[in-house]
Amino acid sequence: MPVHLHDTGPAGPYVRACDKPYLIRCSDDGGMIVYILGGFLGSGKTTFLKTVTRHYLDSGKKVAILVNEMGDIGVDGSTLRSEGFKAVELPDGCICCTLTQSLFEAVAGIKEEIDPDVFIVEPTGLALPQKVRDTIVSTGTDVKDIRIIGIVDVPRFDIFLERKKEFFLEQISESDIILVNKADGQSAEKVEGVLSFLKDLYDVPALVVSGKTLEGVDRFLEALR
Amino acid sequence: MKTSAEMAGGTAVGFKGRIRGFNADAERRLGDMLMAIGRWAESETGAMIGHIKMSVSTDTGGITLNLTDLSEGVLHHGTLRPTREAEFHIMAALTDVDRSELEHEIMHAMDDSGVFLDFDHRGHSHDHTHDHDHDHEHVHDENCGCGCRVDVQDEESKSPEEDEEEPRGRCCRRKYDFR
Repeated sequence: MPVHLHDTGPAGPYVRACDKPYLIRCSDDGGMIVYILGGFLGSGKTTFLKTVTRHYLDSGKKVAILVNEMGDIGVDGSTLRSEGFKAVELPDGCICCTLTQSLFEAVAGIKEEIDPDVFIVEPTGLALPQKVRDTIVSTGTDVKDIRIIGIVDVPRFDIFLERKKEFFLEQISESDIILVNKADGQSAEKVEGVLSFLKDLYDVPALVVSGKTLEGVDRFLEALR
Repeated sequence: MKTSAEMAGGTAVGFKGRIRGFNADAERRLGDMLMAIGRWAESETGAMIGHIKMSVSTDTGGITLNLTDLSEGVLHHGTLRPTREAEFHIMAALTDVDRSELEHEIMHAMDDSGVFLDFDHRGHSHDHTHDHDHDHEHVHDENCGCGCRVDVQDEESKSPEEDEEEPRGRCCRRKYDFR
């Protein structure tokens, strides 16, 4: 696993947290928890974004959301806002590469204006979430913990491997937890095959879930605690 | 240095605008519209890899339509009562397709949907052109008067009714009115 060390942010107590191979600025009495939802196009990131958000809102936490769209017009930002979520949308590019400066500014703005307990970021399905994490860390914002939730799509797992293997594997390579999504309606063999493939490559927990039937979602939310 | 989208071979296109006369029939047609875009992507690349999303909303509610898997079809979420006017957003993020062609295909799908969709041209870089096999290009909404529209129409004119109509150019696989 590649090591990312950041010491370019504002001066402060940078520490290793949660055995992560990178440094974050930690404060015991505050700091937000950051979740970055990684996964290819259509893997179910937005569904889990809502699931995680509702979970924390129900627990009385203040949650801020940032969604990123590759195109100049997005759908999720307006939908989330119409559903009552506090969502910031960064369209027309990718926050892992072409919009890193916008992400940098957005994180600072969200911390200052909303100061959330939990900050959830949904990059585009064409982003590398580890780069998003690196940019957030480099802002020097107080972060209690930062985790990448990788999401893979069981029904289309084989075609992603066949057509986009290098990118697909890179995209989930630094996940702290992997959700094996859309398992409902799939054969046990297929789901096992995906799990076994992931376990061979990555030494992180992989949970079988379904955003549609909510199977496994409780276990996932428990894992976040 | 490549962007992540370039690494993945992906591109995205979006439009927003107003929909006039939303009801259950319009919702069904919008679902068909997303399927048409998805089938086009599949025909281009052998498999639709990516997603196509649409939202239709008013102050009182909204729906989202989501297509990620052609065999599963379009998933509909939310509810929206019939309304005279609503806002829509549509976006497609797909791999291995040409951005201009995707933009083009979405426009045609909207045209063909049978739903009144007035899309906002703001930020729309829809400068795709159509060469009609004779070293000449048209841009949508352009009436350049080059005469080639007539040539195309001549090739197409099969019925007397069409002959009486103002000549039209042909965009891709179908006739398209450039007026």
